[in-house]
Amino acid sequence: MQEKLENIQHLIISDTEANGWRKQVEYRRTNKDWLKKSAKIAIKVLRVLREKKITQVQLSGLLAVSPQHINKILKGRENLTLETIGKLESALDIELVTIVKADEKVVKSKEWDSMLSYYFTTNIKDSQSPSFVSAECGENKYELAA
Amino acid sequence: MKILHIFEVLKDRLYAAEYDDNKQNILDILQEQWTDPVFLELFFEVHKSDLQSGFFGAISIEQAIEDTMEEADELFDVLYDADEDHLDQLFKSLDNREYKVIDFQKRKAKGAAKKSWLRIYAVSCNDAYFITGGAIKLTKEMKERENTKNELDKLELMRILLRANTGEHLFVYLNI
Repeated sequence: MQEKLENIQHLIISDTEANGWRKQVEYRRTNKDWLKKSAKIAIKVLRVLREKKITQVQLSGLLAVSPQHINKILKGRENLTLETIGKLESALDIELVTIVKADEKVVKSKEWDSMLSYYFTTNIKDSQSPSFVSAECGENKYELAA
Repeated sequence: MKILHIFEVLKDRLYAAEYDDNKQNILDILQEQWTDPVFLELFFEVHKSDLQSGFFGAISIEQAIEDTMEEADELFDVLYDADEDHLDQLFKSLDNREYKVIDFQKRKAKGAAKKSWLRIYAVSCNDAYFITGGAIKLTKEMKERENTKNELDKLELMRILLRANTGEHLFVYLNI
């Protein structure tokens, strides 16, 4: 192959160490669990910054950290401490991490909306007006004040 | 735009370009961008109407960023583990009507998902692939958007370079 490329040989770099992406693949494989969580937090914060029209520099002021530190957080490359997460939550008035208790379930809003819609359709048909909306999904039962 | 260097990624089989406007191996750049929420959030915000045109279903920007990062990791894992046999399967012809690998053909590698928008572009030559770039492709035709149109230009640039300089084709080129 190399002899066939002799006219562009001066352009070719054969040192595979020069391929930084390989080291990144190894790093991302080793650290994938926390990197995934860090990225999710970064995405949420980025969307809130856009919505509230807050710049990265302003956020660094709110958290009293350097803009470089904020940039690392927003690129999802920071192994965040609970302290930093708490500061972000307070500064932006959002919730980033939630511990789901044993008697609680997380339901996607789309599923919840469709359960409510199903309930109200049925309820109007039956002309009933209970004080609680109750919906069942698989083995789980959900209740909400009507 | 000029090709400054060509990095050997897999001995004699896979190469990646470096351009004069960003002195970094194109694979390094793509991997950095596709795993960067800041880059992706801005990209999908700018291309929101393409993302939410209906072809990809009801998808939020948040979900699009997460999907891209996940697929990018998978695609780079495949490239990392790729051996000679897998390259021809990975890089398909850019023109869906072409099935055979021929020299100076424009090729693409896609993410694994059915509607993946990730693309890595390359030119085939002498049993090897020369990666020219990559894009998040949200429209049917590459020429429809600036980011994918640029990739067509880069493919052409590499094709011209290879056609003009590879040993066995030099004679042919000089006789045109």
